[in-house]
Amino acid sequence: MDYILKTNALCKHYRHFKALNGVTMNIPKGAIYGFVGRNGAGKTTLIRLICGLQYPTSGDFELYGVKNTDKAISDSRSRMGAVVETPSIYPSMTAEDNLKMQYRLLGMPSFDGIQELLKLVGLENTGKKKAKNFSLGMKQRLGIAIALCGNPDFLILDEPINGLDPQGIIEVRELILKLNRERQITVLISSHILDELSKLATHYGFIDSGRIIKEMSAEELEQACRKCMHMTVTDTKILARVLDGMEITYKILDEKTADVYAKPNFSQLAIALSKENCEVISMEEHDENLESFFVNLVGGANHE
Amino acid sequence: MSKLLSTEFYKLLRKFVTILITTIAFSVAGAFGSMSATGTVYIGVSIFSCMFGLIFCGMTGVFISQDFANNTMRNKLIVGHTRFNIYLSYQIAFAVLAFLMTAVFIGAYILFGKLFSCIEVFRTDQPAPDVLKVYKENFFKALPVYLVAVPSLTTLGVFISMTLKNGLGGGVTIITAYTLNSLPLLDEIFPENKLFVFINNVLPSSQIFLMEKFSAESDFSPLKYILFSTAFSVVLITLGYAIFRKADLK
Repeated sequence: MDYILKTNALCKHYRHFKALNGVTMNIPKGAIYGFVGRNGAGKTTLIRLICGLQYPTSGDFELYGVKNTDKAISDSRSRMGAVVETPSIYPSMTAEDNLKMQYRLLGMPSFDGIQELLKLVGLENTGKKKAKNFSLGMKQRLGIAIALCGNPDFLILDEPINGLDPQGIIEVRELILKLNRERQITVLISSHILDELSKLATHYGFIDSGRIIKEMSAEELEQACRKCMHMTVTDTKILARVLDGMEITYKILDEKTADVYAKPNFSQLAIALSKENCEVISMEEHDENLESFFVNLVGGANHE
Repeated sequence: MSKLLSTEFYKLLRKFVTILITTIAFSVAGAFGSMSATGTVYIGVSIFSCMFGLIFCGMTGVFISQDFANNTMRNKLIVGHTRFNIYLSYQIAFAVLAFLMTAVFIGAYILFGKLFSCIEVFRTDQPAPDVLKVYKENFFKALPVYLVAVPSLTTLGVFISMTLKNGLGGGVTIITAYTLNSLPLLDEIFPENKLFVFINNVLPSSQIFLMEKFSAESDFSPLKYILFSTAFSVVLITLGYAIFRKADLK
């Protein structure tokens, strides 16, 4: 698998505080990588390191296969765009002028494509209106448009939906999906609004206290969060045979436990198992969403 | 580097009219002040010509700190510009602008000085011809010093704002520039103190303030002060970049 970004035991310490404590993560090409963590978990710090705003205390990372200590990292960075926390815009300039400034920074030969970018983020009709008079959502979209200047193939968005109204959230979400599908842009999106991330991400990285505690694909997460009946029986081999007969999907976890992905008639199931000399010891419904999955992962309230 | 310079010059170009008007206003006021005080045009006499360099220093700090306040500094790093190029592009852009505006300032100063000299009120209290001659000679000797000292002061603005790395850079630069105003007084209070004499020789702001005194000295050498200004700039640029190179940005 091709990876856009690979980090290796990345650490960032501020005096005695360890903001990042050995972060190792991999972002596959073409993915929308949901970077999940609580406030202060280290999401923004990691993004700052990748963007070159800060230096790691130890560890390293590779961007497009180029190490951060390599001089060529500057060229690699020119292939990415980022919105770190708040959008970086000139408030006294119009949306178009802001993009022109970014085009100058990138050394683009002409301003062709600016109108297309403005249209893409829905700011084509802002005319002479200065960025300081934009709504929060408009500023966020302008920040994304600036990040998109120069056609990057890796986009980093740090909490892009923070403070947006529901309409703004939908607009930003649609935009990210569009960029990923139509332009094949790999996106690293950090957020602690898990429900929103679950509508976008193809891969997840969970960070807590400066460590990546789990990396998984959306399919794996879906599997983990799938609604099921968690059953404990005396023999799962018998349970498997009975469930096969009833054409019910399941997953055997060990000799005594299994997840059953349907709502069978439990009386019939219990009778069928009893006939095979298999007892049902316990049954509990397992219905986990991303939020509860994350809370379980980081240890919930006890973790505080 | 050229990309960064193009961006910086474009930003300055947007404020060019304001900067030009301010420069000419200072020039007119300076020429008026000089004519009132000496009956002739002399660059070091008027407070306006003395303040011009510090105004530029403050302006540099304000402009750069805006980049930190708006977080637009991030855009430069994210797209891969090196910190060395970023620091140097600011320095070059502001030093070039300061140099050009100083030239405009001097040009307008002479022009308006000539204009004011045609006005009857200034003719009445003109100094003796020998004093006038000294002023005239010193004026042209002081010009190259002035032309270097003003752009040198921008290194202080760049240094402070790039070291603080936040929106406060502009304010702190202005306060620092204002404090520097008082240093030439040391020359009057402690005329024999070698350290204070050295400080006032080295600091471009003091060079401007004490220009009238310096240029009147028999062994006045513009080159000495130009070298001091250059050394002042090199030290601040080196120190500023060394701090900025390893700094954590938000």
